[in-house]
Amino acid sequence: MASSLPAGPKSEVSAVARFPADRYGDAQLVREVASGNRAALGLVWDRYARLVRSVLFGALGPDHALEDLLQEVFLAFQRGAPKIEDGGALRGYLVSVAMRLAALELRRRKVRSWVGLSKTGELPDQPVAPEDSEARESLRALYRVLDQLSSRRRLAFVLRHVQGLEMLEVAAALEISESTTRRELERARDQIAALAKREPALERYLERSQLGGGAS
Amino acid sequence: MSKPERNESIAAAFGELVREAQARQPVDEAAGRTRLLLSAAQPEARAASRRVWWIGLPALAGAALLAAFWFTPGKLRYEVVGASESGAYVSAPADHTVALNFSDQTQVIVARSSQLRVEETSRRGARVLVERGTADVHVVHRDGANWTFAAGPFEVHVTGTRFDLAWDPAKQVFDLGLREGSVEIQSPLSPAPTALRAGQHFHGDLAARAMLTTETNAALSSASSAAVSVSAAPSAAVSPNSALPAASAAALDSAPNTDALGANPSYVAPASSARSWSKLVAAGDFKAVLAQANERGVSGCEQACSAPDLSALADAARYTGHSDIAEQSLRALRARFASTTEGRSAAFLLGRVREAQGAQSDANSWYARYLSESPSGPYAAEALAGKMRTTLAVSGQAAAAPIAQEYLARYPNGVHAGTARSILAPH
Repeated sequence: MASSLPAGPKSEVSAVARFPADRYGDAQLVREVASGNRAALGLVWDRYARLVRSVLFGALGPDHALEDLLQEVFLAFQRGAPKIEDGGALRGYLVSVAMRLAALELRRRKVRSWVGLSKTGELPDQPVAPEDSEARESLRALYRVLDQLSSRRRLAFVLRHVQGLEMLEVAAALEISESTTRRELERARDQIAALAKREPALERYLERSQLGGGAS
Repeated sequence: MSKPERNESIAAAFGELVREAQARQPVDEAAGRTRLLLSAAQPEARAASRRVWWIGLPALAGAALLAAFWFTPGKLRYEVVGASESGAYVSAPADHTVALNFSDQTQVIVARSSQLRVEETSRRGARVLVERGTADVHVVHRDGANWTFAAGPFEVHVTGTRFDLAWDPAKQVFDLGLREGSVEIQSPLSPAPTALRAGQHFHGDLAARAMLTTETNAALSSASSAAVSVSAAPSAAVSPNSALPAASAAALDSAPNTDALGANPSYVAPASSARSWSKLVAAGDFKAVLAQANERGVSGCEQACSAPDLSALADAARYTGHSDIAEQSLRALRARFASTTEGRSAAFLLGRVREAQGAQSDANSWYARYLSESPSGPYAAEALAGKMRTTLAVSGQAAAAPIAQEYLARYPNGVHAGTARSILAPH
């Protein structure tokens, strides 16, 4: 079967068979994707879908749009692959695209809330919720708090404190300077600590984490 | 603790809250991967067509030559999206569908756990052998097109059409639902080929030596008055219900079998223009599946839909957070198709759904059931991890420890090895 396909980069059927994922570095995968090899795109998915989903989840919370956005990130990567100069920075690139799409989604939500589609801008059908009702309530409260932050501040918080990215990585993903990132993060933490005091579920969560007794 | 330090700790705690919530979200990486690869094929084609206008007339002339080369001399080519294949053999895994895209735009979607073989290709078509399971076929109509789909002793000849074909080699049962065009079916049940037109469903049962053609469009308006034509094979065995005319008896005899494959004469098939649900799920159009299911009535589907449709509905519901519909569909799969791959997989997926709903004990039972039915099944590792998690939640660390040990013994580098080790670590 493989021999019946045209030679060249688009014959990903044969590529699937001879594509040892552990041997190819990111830069090589980027080159393969840029040359039209969809099997390589599948390998990039295998390597980074979990990370990107995690970034999007952190930014948006449980959201019906998450899987669609995840697809968008990888399709955007496929389209942009020929222009990527440093293929070794693929991880940062994907995080950066995810951040841009998440920021757009947050803006869309704000518009939806302005035009009265829903109080929060979120659509009504939410994915399967976590099983622990306390944790679920805390999570909702946290995203109510995050909704009050600017998109940039919110995303900086997510990248640093949910994803555990280094300061430089956060700055690169948000395309801002390191000093601006530090400033945004400090303000994000202050704001979150202050707003959390108005959310009983978060107060209880902090007490369980031995951080109770009034934030900031 | 200073204020910045305290705020840093609060931020870290909230980060952990989000990470824990995310870890509990059900994820289907394989379905996402299939969806991505199917979508990736489309923009590439559009981009290529846009690029043509930029490369000028000489390049267009070259492209025309290339196109002439593409269309005239060679055999059709095809690629497999969603799985690797061995030779011409294509096997769809239990958790997602696989697409075969031919160079003439013909597409075959291989349902989960189904297998087929592309026996040969020519300039005008191909001969495809469905070894087991279901294939959703769209043959693009071209003059002189010559396609054959074989399943056991049944052969379907087509020139351009859309249909769903199912073959169960164990039961020797063949089903074909024709959505567009016309086909001819050759089988040992009839000396002459059976012609089928759009909206008809053909059922052949070698064991009962019976075949049955139903008008599924008629079933749309009135299931009870559906036009049914039945032909008993010349050597049909004596019907257990001898009071009935032979043909009707054959129809009754075969009805349970057709139902088992989701081809009950009262089954309301999607409109002929509709895409199959497994195809819609593969394309990521989960909402369309749910909309069609709601239109037809979800409870009716639980009674009448085929195993692949129920499975696709459950997937669509899970991906969009409709856990109630997901659970109903999976329970229907268990009730009606427990012995099939879909039915066995449903036990694991019910575990996932119930765990996400907080019903740890129930989830634990489903995981255990999956493991007893499919100890080496595709979800065995995840089911064992689920059993470990839910046992920990319900009965505590001591009860979960043997399961953690079993997990580490079977999957020392598994995704949940860390959790297993933490259960076994002294506290």
